[in-house]
Amino acid sequence: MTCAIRVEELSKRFDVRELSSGLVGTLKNLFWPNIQKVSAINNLSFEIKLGERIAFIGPNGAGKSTTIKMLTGILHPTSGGIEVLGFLPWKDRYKLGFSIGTVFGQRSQLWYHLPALDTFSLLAKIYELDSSYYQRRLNELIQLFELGPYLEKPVRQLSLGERMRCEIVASLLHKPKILFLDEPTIGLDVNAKLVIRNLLNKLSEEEGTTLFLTSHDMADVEQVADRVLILDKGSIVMDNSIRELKRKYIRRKIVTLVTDKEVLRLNIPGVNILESENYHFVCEIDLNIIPIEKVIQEALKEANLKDVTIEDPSMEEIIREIYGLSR
Amino acid sequence: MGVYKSLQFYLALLKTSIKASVSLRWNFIFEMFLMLFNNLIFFSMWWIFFLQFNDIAGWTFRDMAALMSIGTGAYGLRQICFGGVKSLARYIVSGGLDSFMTQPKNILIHIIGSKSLPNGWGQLLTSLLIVVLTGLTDLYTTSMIILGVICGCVVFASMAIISHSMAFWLGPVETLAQKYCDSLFLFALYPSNIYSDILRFMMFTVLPAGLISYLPVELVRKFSWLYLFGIVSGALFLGTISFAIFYLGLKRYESGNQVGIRA
Amino acid sequence: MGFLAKYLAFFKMSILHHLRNYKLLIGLCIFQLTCLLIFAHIWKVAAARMGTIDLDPKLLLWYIALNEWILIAVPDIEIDMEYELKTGQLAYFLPRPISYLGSKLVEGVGALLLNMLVLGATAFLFVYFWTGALPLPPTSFIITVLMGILAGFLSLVFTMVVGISAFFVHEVEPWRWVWEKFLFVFGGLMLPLTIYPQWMQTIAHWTPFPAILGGRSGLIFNFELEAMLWILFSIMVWTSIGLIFLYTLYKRGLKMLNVEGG
Repeated sequence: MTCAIRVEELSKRFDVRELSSGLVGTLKNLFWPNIQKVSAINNLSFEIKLGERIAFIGPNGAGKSTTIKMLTGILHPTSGGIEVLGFLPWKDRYKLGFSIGTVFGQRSQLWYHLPALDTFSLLAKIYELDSSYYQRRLNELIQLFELGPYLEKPVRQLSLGERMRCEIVASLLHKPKILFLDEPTIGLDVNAKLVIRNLLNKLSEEEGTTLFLTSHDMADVEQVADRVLILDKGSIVMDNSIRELKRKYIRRKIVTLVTDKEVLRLNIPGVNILESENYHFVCEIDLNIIPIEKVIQEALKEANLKDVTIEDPSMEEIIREIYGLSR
Repeated sequence: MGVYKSLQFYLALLKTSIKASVSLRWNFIFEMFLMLFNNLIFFSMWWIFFLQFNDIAGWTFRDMAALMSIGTGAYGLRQICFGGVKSLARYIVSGGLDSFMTQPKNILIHIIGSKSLPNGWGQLLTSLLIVVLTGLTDLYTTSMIILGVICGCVVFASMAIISHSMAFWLGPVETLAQKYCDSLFLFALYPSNIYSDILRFMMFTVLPAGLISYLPVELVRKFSWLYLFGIVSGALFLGTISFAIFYLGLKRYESGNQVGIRA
Repeated sequence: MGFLAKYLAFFKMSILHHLRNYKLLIGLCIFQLTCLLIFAHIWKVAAARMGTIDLDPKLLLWYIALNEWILIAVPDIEIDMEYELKTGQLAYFLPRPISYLGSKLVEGVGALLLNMLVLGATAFLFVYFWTGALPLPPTSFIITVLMGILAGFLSLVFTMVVGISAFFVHEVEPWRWVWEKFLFVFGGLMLPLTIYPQWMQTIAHWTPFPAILGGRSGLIFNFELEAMLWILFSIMVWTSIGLIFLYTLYKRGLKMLNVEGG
């Protein structure tokens, strides 16, 4: 079996009760509630192979949590097909549980007043791990995640970054085939984020774990995922590898010039000036209209160039553009 | 999931929960003794009452002592063994159920067993102290009290599960469920032999304090197969229903149509 | 007037908020009625023994109803306060041009008055139906009820003292239980203090509990101007003590927060 997740024409509709404010509104709600049918997910279709690293992103309210809940068996769909590791998630949730791991950034599965080791021992019982296997696996993960000094401390005494590492280890003890991560780096400082991303990459390389990640941090997406699914208003608006995404959607480059002229004036079609002062000239070039060489040539006519930097726009901008395209 | 496996899991869970509750040592001891103190003050109120009135419809001070011993013991056992039930309504409303759902173990057992409350030990201690201080120490009385405590614990836990599970249909009912459980506990500590038919009916159905107070105390006064059967079957019945109601609610949760769900 | 407008807004919000949480109100009414039913029965049964004390069981039911009314109507504000103090939400209040304590007090009064209205109506209907008559002439009864409102405020103040202890203790709940139990016993919840052993009466005399419960509702056994003024005086003294205590603890707690960054 090479297919980790298969979703076909998946849809989910909710009944939502509308609330009104004020005294009259409150009384009205009590006796005549207004119930609306809201479509959260519309005919979603995608396939994920084992070992892939997927970023599942979209604006708030796009339906990401709903999709993950259906994939992990928490919600059952209104219509459509869904298969995770050969199981029907909402029907075989118990069996599926042995093969998936979850890390929800805003909720902890670690017991707050006890050392992480106690939570790990309990999880070993939950996942029915043989004690010699558990010991071996635990040592492996402790080494990989460098948890040595933190195991015996009560979780409440750990920093957020240390806690997140323990959280991820907790979800890996039973060697799940798929790891679902919901905002795993939220609230972490830059260094801690880097550490987590590296560990996730290492995990994927060494154990072939399929990663299914949602995050609002584009750096998470860029550094961990190799494929991006973008969700908006319950439908997929983009399903592509990161490389393809950058190649296809971005026909723009950001050029930074350091010159010997304090202010450079370049009024060329296809060039959007972002900054021009203090000998620094930053502009955005639309490659559909004018090639980079032409812009550099024009700049050289005006001044001497001391330094040239050519960059891709950030993932943030790429995504924003895609959201913009979908509306 | 097999019964034996569930039990094994529950015991491992309970061990961890108790460990967590004891981890803040001074707080644990403090809460335990404060609870004991608390109960003895309440007990003194009854002592004053019985100073004035020798009995209530046949129940004497000794019966009141048995009542309090069983009531506090049962409640204490519930706090120790099933303390997690207090957070059930909150988990249902806030989505906290999700992390329990993705793990391959019985969700309800997992939730109710994942917390052990220190004050429960204070309640158990009270129960023991009352038995010792009032001389309820003969074998028959003690065994009936123990039976009452165990069955009472099951009744308390079941009603807590049922009231908290209302969150699946009614939304944020945490405070209400808490007040219901408090009421149940309170009424289990009042003599229930005095009620008229309507109240007696209530005491065995919507507010089954009768199962925790009336039947066990009558059993302590005099053995009766009927009462014995009543207590045990009542506890088992409520336990079964509570699980059924929870899982019914869980089905609703899985459809996502409960109050307050967000996409 | 802008000063008062702020607090009035909190007051209104509190009432609206609690009205929306009507399920809790319904639950409280049911709880109160169950309590009253049970006590009505206890007293009916004990009535046979009334020869030993000089009390009419019907009056005793009114007595307990007037006690329960206050007991159940006071909102669980100490839980909210504990939450706000422990999670640091207090930080949102401090920079605002409004006193945290003041706003909480006003919020509490809003909830208290709403509860007292609904619970008072329910209790009154039940007890009147059960006993068939008012315990006192209408004017005296109304005065007793008004005293009840003051007693409710007193109880609220001390409940807030329990809440503010969140600055200093690990968990507030155990302290709430202790306060409650002392209130039951020394406030004479079930039996008027007059039939307590003398030494207990003396202890109770030096606590706020009789002012909140039994001393006040005991007026229905003995409604005299002197007794009423004494209770009124008691309530006012204890309320002042409570408010001063509350304020002192609050300032002490804030200092701790600012120094140690709790």
